[in-house]
Amino acid sequence: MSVSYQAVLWNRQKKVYDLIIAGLAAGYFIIFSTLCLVLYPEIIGETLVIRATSTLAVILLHIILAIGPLTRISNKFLPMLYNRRHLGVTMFSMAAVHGVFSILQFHSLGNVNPLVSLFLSNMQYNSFTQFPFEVLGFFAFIIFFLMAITSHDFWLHNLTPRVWKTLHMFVYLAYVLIIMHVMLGVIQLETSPFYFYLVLAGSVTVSTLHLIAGIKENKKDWMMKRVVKEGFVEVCHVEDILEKKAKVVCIDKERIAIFKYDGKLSAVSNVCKHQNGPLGEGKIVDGCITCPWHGYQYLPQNGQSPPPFKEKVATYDVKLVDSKVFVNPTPYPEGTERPAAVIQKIVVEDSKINV
Amino acid sequence: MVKPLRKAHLVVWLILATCLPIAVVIAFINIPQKLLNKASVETPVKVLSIVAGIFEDSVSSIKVRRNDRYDSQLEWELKESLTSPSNLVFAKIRLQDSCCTGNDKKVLRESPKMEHFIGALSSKGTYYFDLGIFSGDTLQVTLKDGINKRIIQTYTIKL
Repeated sequence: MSVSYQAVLWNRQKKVYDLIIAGLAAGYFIIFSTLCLVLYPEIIGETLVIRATSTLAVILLHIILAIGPLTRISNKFLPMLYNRRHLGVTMFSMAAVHGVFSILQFHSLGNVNPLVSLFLSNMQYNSFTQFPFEVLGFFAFIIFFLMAITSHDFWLHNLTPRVWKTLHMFVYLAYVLIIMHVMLGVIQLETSPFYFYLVLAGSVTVSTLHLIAGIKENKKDWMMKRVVKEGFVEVCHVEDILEKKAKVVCIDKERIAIFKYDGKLSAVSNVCKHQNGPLGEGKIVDGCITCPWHGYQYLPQNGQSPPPFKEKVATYDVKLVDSKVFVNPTPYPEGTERPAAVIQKIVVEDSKINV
Repeated sequence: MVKPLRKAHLVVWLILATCLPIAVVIAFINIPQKLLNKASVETPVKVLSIVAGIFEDSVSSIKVRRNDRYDSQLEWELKESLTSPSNLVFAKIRLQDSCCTGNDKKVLRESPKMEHFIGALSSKGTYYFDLGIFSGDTLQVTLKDGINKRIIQTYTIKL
């Protein structure tokens, strides 16, 4: 996880994930091609490739955009998030094949450069419905290209997470461009409303999922705690936190995750250094806080990734008063060791009860 | 995710959830009109019966058709696809336009005889272009590449 390049470590989960993607893509191609050959026997190979790759890319784009909000709504979708970038690169590859074949078929047989032809063969830039839809697809492809080549963690570290995240948020612009590329392109040649309803349903579903997840997260931010006295804030009862898990609280500006483990409590920033994943929704694995998104790990007492990794998150002071958990929301510099709050144990006759 | 990023996501999706379905619906409701326009370019309402002039080569078969009232049309059979990205057809004709006087009597208002854009060619097929009321012993038709700003070919058809 250093700034120097390191090849992707193909662990078992990644291999299984990619095999599933490849299997589903191959299955889709077989079904799509069979249906096309039955319904349109005159179809040529180039057209078949253009249609199969474009439809698969659009379907994959919808799935990719739905994964993020789905994981905010339910933890069951987290396994899909772990290697979402593999899905993204697959989608980009499909879009690339579609783009190359389309340019070859529609723009390469003339006497001008195919890319010039792409921009100039339809000059109705001042019309909404007759806008040159190919141009929309081209710019979406450029965004996907930039996202695909920077999808490796090498670029995440070198560009800094802030720049990387900003760049990857352009996927929303690319999504709009793709929807309009479809609506002003192939849908304009359709007499059946079926495909229109399909595109509309897809965009409404993705938008609704993002709004539900966004509003849910916004509510959590509004439930933030205020500092009371001596800089400490009462956040919960110690029994509200499950063993090896965390309670997430929003105090003033940002979220803090308070973990309970081995009879102790420690607090760290809720934001993973990798891709801003929610550390407080992860759990303690092998003594380390483990991010639920991509498995990045941090030691709870100092917020440092175990060697050889170098990521660090901010730490906070925690104290226990009469079984109530208090946190000081002033962060220590990332990776600062702070003493954990020890959960007192009361011996009642021969049994031990955690308080 | 940090708080500003969460807020940015929510704002982006509030805008998209509002605008995207509207744009999709607008694009959809404009489909029938577009299909009608495409059809009218390639299929005339009525092919005029008299062939007044003809030009033929390996790529094109161009006919000037008219009826006995001198309503004229240009029939262009494109035998193979052209290699230029834009194929615009211009004809040297007078444009005529009807307008009304005070007592609703229709008169013709004519433009000088000059080159006018009458349509465009795309894929292989037969195209029909309305020439209005045309009289004269020759018709000059020019095919231009609008993108490269050049004349592809000029045809002079004797009538």
